[in-house]
Amino acid sequence: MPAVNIEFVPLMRGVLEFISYMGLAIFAENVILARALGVTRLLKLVPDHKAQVWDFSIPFLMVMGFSAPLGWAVHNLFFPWLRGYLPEWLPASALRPLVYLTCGSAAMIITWLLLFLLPRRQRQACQAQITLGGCSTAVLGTLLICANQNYTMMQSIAFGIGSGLGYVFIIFIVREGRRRLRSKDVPAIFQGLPSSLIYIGILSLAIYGLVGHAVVL
Amino acid sequence: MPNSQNRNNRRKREEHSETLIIPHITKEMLEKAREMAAQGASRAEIEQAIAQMQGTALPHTEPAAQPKPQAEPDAHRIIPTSRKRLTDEERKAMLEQMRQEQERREAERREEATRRTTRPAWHFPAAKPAAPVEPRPAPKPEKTAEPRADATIQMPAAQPARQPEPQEEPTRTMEPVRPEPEKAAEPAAQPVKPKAAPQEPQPAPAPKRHAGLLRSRAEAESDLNEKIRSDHIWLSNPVMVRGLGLAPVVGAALDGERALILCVASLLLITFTRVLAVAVCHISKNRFRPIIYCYAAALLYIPVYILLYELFGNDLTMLGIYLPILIVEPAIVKRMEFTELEPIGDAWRHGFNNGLGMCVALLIVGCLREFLASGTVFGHVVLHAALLPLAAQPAGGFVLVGIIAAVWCAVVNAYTEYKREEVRRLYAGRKH
Repeated sequence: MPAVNIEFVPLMRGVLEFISYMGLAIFAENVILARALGVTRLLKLVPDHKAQVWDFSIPFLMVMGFSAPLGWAVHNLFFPWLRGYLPEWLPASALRPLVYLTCGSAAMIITWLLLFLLPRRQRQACQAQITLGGCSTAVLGTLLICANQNYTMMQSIAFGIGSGLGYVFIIFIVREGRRRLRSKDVPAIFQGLPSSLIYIGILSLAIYGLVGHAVVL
Repeated sequence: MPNSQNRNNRRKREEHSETLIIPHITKEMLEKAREMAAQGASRAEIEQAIAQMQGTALPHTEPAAQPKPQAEPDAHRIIPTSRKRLTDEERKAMLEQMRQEQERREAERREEATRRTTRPAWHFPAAKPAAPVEPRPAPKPEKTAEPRADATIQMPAAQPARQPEPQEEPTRTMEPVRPEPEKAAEPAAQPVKPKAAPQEPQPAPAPKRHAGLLRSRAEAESDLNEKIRSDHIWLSNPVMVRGLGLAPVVGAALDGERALILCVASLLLITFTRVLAVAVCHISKNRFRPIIYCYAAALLYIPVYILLYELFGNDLTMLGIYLPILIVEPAIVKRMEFTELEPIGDAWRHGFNNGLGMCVALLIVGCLREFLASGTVFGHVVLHAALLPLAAQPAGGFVLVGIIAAVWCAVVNAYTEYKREEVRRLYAGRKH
């Protein structure tokens, strides 16, 4: 009788590591609160209707998830190979945005194809938002952070998905805060962008108090 | 039996008593009427001729042809009078002339508005000197000898009411402006009429008026709004007013030196990305804008990075991820969301102004954060105490940028409201 040899402890350790990196990306190293990535898109997105938040968030999460392994492959496979062919006057750092942007574009194409699984109306709404979600500082910033931190592939995927979830989480928190900040008690000059920024700053301060140190840029 | 006549038709007949009603009209009568009309015959002559063809007189049409003098003429009533009929060619020529006249006035108005705009000198490309304004070859004989005739642009004779208003100050008078060659060619590629043609009968002789002073209030307000919208440095700052480019401002502009590096990078990337992307969009017929904008920025990042490395060396590493992510920063690629395709010259000007606006915001925030966090500005000790160490963190950056944006927007709103009130007062006595 064949027996399957499953090492339970390493598997659970891997799962725990995956979840911990996701939690790290959602809370402690939130792309918005800790690094201010994608704030502009967030502030434009929050006043929109609730349905449009998910139209943006679904392709955004998919792009974040698919671009993470591509970014890992580029960092660990492509750039070491490329460094041997680059001229001396051209540092590899100058090519990083171009290469990682290509990873994001490839993830956008995969996402665009997978969106055909959705119903027609939702698919069209998501496909209209896919470029805004893909060409975002949050996507490119997450890829660069994973490369700078030398994460493994699973860690990169976990961090990417966690960053996306953290972004969506903050969208809903800022959305609720924005709704309450429409009060007439808020001075007129603070209405709109200033009050939203101060609100995000206070949330960021809470994260800073929880972590206790500044994140690596 | 009730009157079965259509009430609407009866009302129409009462209101338009001059309507020509000809019973039993035949094709020959119609041809005759057209022929006479083409020859310039009056309505009465046409009706008389048709009546002769019919062999009977038309008693009810005579009052329409020759309206009886009323005992008490109503000043508000417009009495139709017979006038010379125009042929199709004459009508077309008149329409064409009116159209050219309107376009020329519009060009003059735009030129006048551009000249009177009180923008800083660096806001627009240097204006051409006034020397190229050539003197008129010969004054037109129709020109009326008004005391301030040179302060106005000639008006058509049919509109004598459009005189310069009495509140005009003489300092605003100016030489009657002819559209410059490049500006005259801009509105349309139609041939411009020769200036000196006094012998040619022109029903509307080259009207001249001060275009800016005769603008309506709506036009003045729209001009003001356009001026506010196009001022990307103060009134419509991309960071403080529109909320673009917040990631590098909050996350990386921790001190003056980093802010300066980001300034140079932003100015170069914003300006040249916009120009390159617009040029490519012209080729691609404005399709694939997001990809074009992002890849244009990514390609331009290569020479910009090399240049920055030459200027600042290893200090670039202080910026971490915030230098590469500039290529997808909304301050640079926000334009991809707009479907209208701007000319390359406008792209250059708008991109440069946006870059300057972002530089101003970066330097203000960077220096203020450095001062609050460590009491220094660009490394020079100003205060031997750290007023707010939190300013060096993203949380402090958010709060500080929010407060600066509130003050900035308050000042901008006060200024724009003052300008709007000025326009309102200037145009208060006008009905249009």
